[in-house]
Amino acid sequence: MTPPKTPTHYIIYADDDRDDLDLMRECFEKHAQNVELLTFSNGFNAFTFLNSLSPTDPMPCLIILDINMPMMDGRDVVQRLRLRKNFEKIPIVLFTTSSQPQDKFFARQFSVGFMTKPLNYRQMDMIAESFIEYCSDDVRKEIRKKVEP
Amino acid sequence: MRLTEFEELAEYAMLDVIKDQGVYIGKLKSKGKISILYQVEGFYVELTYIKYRHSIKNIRCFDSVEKIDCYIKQVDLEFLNQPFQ
Repeated sequence: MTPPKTPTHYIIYADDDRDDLDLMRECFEKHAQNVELLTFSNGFNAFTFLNSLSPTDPMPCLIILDINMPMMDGRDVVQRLRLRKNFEKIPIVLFTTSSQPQDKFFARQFSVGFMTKPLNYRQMDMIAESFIEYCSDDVRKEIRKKVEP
Repeated sequence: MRLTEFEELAEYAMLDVIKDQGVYIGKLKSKGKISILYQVEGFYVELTYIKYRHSIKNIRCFDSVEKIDCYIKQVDLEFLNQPFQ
């Protein structure tokens, strides 16, 4: 998989749950524009892709990681990315099924966001908007989509 | 919070409790529906969806561990035996 060649923004999302991957695609289609969602089914594949980016490749505007994944979990991906200079400033969010204190502590330690997966439509509608808030001001302006009530 | 107290909550309040305190156990797919099981303190809450993580069909609460067997059996630990590639 290569980064998008067209001048657009892209977000990385790694999760081993296929239903959550589909859900996220639907969320971003509804609430965001000018942004492509690149999905990976485990942390290892997501990290391998990110690690292969050259200095001239466009960087993701946001990286979303499920915590519990096979091969390489979200925490491991965060620790490896934060060691790399070109990923120091990329916003990363841990997106998890449960609100565990130790995971929240880890997120604070590594300066990454922390969000729990939604349980119903009320919580789900806020998700894409909450993710967009992690992006830089310029990116937010370009990808935020107004949804008709 | 006790099971009886949880059962008296409105649905939106139940979901807030689960979001803040629930521990995800697993997911089941059956007859086109998806159910998710959470543990909340000393009991379990099963959410069955019409549309996954969107429209809830049913919320079932129980404290019997026997009823979570079908979720536990779904957990695949085989990957722990695989070498890191």
